[in-house]
Amino acid sequence: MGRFWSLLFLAVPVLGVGVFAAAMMTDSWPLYNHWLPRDVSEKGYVIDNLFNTILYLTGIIFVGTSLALFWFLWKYDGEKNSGPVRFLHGSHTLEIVWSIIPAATLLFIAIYQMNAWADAKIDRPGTRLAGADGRMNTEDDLIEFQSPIAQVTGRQFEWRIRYAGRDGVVGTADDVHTVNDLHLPVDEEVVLQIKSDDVLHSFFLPNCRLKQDVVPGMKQMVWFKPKEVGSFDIVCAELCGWGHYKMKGRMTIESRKDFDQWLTDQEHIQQESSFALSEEE
Amino acid sequence: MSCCLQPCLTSLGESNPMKRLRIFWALLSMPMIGLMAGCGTESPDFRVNSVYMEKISRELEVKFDGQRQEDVYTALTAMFGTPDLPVVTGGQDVGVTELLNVDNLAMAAGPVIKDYEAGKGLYRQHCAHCHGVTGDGYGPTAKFLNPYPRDFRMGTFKFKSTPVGYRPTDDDLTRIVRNGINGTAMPSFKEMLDSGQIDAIVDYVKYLALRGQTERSLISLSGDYGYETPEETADTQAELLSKEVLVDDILGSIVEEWTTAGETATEAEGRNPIYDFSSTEFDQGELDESIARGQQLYYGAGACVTCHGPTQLGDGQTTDYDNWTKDFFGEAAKVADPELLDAYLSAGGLPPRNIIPRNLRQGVYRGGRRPIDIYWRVKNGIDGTPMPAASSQLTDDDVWDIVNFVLSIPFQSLSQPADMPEFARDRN
Amino acid sequence: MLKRFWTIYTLLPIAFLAGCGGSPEADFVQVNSAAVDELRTQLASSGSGTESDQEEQVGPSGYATLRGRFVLDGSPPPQIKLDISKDPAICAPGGKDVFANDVAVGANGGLANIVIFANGVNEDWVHDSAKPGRTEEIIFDQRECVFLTHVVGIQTGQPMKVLNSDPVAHNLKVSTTFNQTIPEGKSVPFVASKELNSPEKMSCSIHPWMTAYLLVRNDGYFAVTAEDGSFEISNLPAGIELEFRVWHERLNGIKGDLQVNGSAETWKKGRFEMTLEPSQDQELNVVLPAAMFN
Repeated sequence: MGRFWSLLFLAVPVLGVGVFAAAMMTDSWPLYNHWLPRDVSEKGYVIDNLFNTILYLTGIIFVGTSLALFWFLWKYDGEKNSGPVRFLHGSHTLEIVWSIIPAATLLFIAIYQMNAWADAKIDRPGTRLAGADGRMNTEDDLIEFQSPIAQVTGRQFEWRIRYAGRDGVVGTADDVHTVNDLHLPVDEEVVLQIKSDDVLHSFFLPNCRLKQDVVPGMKQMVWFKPKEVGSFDIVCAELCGWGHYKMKGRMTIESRKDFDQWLTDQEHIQQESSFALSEEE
Repeated sequence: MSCCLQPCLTSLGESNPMKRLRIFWALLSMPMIGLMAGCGTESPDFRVNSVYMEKISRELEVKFDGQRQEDVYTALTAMFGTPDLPVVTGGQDVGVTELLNVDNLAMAAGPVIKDYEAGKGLYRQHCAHCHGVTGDGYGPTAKFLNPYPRDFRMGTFKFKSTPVGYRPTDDDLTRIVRNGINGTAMPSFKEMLDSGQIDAIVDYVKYLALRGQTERSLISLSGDYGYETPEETADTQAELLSKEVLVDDILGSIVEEWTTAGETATEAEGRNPIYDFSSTEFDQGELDESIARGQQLYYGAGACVTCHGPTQLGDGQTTDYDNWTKDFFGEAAKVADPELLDAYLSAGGLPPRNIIPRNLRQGVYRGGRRPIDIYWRVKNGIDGTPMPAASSQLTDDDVWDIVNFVLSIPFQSLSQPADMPEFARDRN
Repeated sequence: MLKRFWTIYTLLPIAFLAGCGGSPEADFVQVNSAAVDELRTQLASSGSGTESDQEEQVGPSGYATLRGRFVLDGSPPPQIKLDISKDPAICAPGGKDVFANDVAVGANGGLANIVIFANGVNEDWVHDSAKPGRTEEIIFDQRECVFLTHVVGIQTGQPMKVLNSDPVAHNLKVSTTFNQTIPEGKSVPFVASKELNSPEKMSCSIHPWMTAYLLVRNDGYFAVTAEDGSFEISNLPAGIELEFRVWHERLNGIKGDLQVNGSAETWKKGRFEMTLEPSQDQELNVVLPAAMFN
């Protein structure tokens, strides 16, 4: 066998890079649409950039280590080397190098992603109000957070959606309820409150680069700004039970006018109170 | 599988490395083949209704074994086919074609086909793991769910527009499949399936209900016949396994219940728009008055308080059972009979659970939250459960007052029970 | 180490196969596919089955009345005490004991609430007085959480007025076909539309110990024994063999060894056959041994 095994190890980086390269060519054979889905959110590119940066970074290291591994296997194959084995005991320089480089890399990622994290998870949209000192844009400014347009409740196995309704408050009698059907206005910052009825779910909007674990007992906010109209998937990204795959919803992004119309229609459907038998029966 | 591994293991002492490698791969692949071949290659069959047979055999003191049982299931298989090939033989003579679309049955039945050949095996892909291949509510996940999945075989469905004792309409079943049942494990299939696929599943559910109801009729009828001597057996078979009995009598009357369901749906003229906040005529004052009247009815003539409790928490009557359980036991008290319970469980019944009145404070409405849905629940009662229809003494306006009250309960504060009439507290 | 690895690898597929065991055999019945195909061909054929030629059947030679009495021989079985779990002030005033009274023994051992009806009487032979369409309203009342009529027999389409004379609400649940609230002191109408072959249970979900039974028949050939155990079914077709079914709440169909008109007989599955003489009243006095009710 001999060097055959080292060739197997060489196949790892070659195939790995090959698969990624094929997937990136999203319009061609053999891996159609296996790369990132269409980005329809305003800040989605930030996540994409972060993803790509980390992918290239780890990609280079992956290819580098795989090639090094291959080279050692090839060069020091037992059947080709008859000389005695040499052992090394400790190399201070080497240890420092292989500690500093990863540490620096991680530090770079940590700093590089800070804004993206803050945008996605901390800086909830809202209006700044003057603080206690009566002046704006100082440290003690109050923020009136934008209230959620809807509450999305994950349960085994569907997404129950509850729009704030006319009073703009979720949890009142005029809420509009739908299942697996989320409509949102385009070009507006939207805030969604997400929660779970039962187990851990993860609210995932692939096209908006938004993914948030839904933890039972926690009310969490997610926000984004859709910039294209269309119909997109809502999926669950946390294996939540046997029906995990069934938690597929649809997010429809439409103009403000269409959205308002749809919400009014839903309200009328929900207020349905009459029923007549059809004529021909 | 294990016995064929044995020689392979002993030959591991093989010295030729190439040969050893081959043995290695062979061994490695075996569990994989085992994994693929071990499960589910045999096409599933309909389960027999052992619980009902146990019930009838206790009532009529007959045994459902040997020829008697075989005749029942020969007839049933001849009439309804198998899970892979559903048919309703002779059904065209009694109007099954009005009820079901044969193409739809083919779409919903059969094994699950790969995604890109979708449109086959829908029932087994989406429904069978809870409701079972037979539609007996005994799928693999059934015992982990609360409430248990619906057993279609009695033809009884809870959330529908028709009164107690009548079959649901197509629209009722479609609504459940589309919207799911909030508060239970039944999910919404609105985004998973297109409307044609949902129609197919609804037709297949009706097919399973027809089959289940026919099975029950056949079992109870068969209990009336004798199988003691060969002559008696021949007489019984000639009479029971005939088109008159199977198709004209049994299937005919069951199909008629279903085809006429659409005419029996309860009509509603609609709630006064002054109660509807989305209407221009909305009047909060009127709504508040209606809610107050509804509250009076809740404690009074509606008698809702007896089961849903003085604080609407659903804690008034918690010891009853639903019809699917009481079908075997006869009455709630008999569930405690250890001998009967044992017979029920060993015949394959799921451990009985009490049916609990809805906690109206949660705002979770299983049959839908539209006023018309709540109206149907109050006006018609809920089939298969102890929930009775509102008294026919109550007018439509009374029922709408109750509906308005029910819809307002989740938004009331529990800490203000001041409006509760005194007499309601004296009960219990 | 390697040995342990192989052992695990061998056990793995076995474990998987065991896991696929599935349901027990008793859940399924093997049917003969030839028999299924044969029957299917018969069912699929147009027309109404193989024996299409109607056998000429001889009609009744007249009409006769069946009357008699059901009597218990021996001491009545102990009564079952009911658990009054709700509204005790109204349902058991003064804390009195309430009994199921399912075996109601009257004067001289007469057994009340036994149902007897002629089953499967050809529609054309039914006497005018027993034809469907009886319009006389039946009153079905409840007081102190007891249905005052324990066993009711009605014809399909016959109106029944369900009263509630109690100061609490009741509901009437008729097996799987009817379930309605009756507010205190009010009444609701009930009409049965489907014939039954044995009485169905009526209950109240609010007071779960309340029980009564309802028999619905198309023709009028049914009776419920009175307090003294007596019954009468008039204008039965005579000269042809009739099948009678007899039912009691605790026994379901009355079956076993008993005495009919003084001679020992054995009823199976709660039914017996009898041919009546035209224009002649027939006596049916049945003595049930007390052991039957234990």
